Amino acid sequence: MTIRRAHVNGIRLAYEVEGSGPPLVLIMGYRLNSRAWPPEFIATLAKHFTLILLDNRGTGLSDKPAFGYALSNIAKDICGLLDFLNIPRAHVLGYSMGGAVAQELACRYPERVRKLVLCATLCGGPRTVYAGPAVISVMRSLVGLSPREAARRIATVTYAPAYLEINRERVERQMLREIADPTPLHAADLQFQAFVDFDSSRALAGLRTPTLVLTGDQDRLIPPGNSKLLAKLIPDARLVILSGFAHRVLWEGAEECASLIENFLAETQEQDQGAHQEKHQEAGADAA
Amino acid sequence: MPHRRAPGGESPAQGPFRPLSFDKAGRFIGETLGTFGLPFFWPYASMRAVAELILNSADPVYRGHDIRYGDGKPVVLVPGHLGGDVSLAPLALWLDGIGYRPAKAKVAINLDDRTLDEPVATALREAARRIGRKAVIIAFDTGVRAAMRVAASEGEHVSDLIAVGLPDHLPPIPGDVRLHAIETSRRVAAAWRDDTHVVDGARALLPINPAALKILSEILREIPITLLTPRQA
Repeated sequence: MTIRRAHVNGIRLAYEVEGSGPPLVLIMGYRLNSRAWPPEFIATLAKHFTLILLDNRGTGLSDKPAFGYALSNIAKDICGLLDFLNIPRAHVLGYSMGGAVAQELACRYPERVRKLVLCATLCGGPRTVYAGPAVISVMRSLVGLSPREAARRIATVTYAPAYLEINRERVERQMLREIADPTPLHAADLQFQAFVDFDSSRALAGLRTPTLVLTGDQDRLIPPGNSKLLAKLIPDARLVILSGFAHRVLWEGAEECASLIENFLAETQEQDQGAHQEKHQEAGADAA
Repeated sequence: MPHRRAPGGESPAQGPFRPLSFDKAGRFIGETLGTFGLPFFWPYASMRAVAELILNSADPVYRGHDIRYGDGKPVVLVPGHLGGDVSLAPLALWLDGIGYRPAKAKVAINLDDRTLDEPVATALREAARRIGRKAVIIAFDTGVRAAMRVAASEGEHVSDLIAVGLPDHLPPIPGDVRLHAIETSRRVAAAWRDDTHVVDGARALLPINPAALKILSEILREIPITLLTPRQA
């Protein structure tokens, strides 16, 4: 894969394109960049979709300014990238903080989002189920740690203990990929601040985009109660809670998740095509 | 050989048996009266402060309710007259909870603000370099003087100074540092700027005054991040 850069919304945004099929934008979570997506997950989805993997503002090879991290502005970055790539509409998948960006994208630019997949994320607002103090303290006490130490520390609350126990080497390899281009502290802080500020709870009722909400039942960072709330607030959203998986649900259950997502997007595509045909027939009947 | 003079204009201490200085004692008494008023009023002021503490104890601001989250910027706390790191500990905890990185000035007790310059400057440099950004100084009454002297000499490590409770006799305002001020309604006449934020309540309780904390959070939130250059770091 070749990393390219687009000038959008006043910054240079790094992105990669992989696979073929309908476009699917993948939005990564807090502190991580596009190299963090699980390879098997990407490989499976790339068979059916043109994946657009981007480094959020402040991460990876994108610019890292000291401003503009409001999630609505990151959604604007992505909209700019879609314009740059001449993609009028795309499926959008957001993981964790990326899920919040995906909600901003779908609420602010509904015409650009075909289907929405929200993984291990939340909607913000007064009904948010926050992580416990021990988990928050792990996420916030990273000053002075090397990127490797910080990643190891974060892994203790993002992976399920059982998975971590059995897959130490795998997690270590994943970690090395993630810290190859470490996110500077100011960008991480501003992302965190933007995520805390985020609140789509009132806007979601007006969302008409078909949505899949996916999470693991052992997620301690963004407890599954948040996904239940999302599914309740988004009209006709589908909720899947996978048993035994934690916040890194896409890594721990890469193939299962990829298959679920692929089925959801394919199924809704078929429904879409069906609806399109029905509309055409209705239009034809009206004309007749 | 002439002594080097400290920024406050006073000679440095000359060993443990330094004779009692009437100048120093007079200054201390003057600061104490200036900060806490005449001793005749102290019982009344203390009762008012206790009542204020009780009334405010359940204020949602202490729990971070309706407070916008911070961006992790380093904040150095400088105590006022007769205050110290301990008296600012509740504020430090609160700032940490709302997303900033408070640093103590390592001041046990502020008896004379002229002795604070060195610890404040050291704390400022350490905090700014540790986080890689210019820090903000939050200083209380006489501590504001020390903060202003340090801000003038350490401009590359400080972006803003927030003065909470303004002392008399301020040093020159440093040119490249933004200044913000919060004062109680009873002392607002002492404010040197028209845009001073005014709150009700006892001056001695400003570090935990909910209205002052709310304003403090708004000021901090509006301060943009200034990254240190590699040379400054």
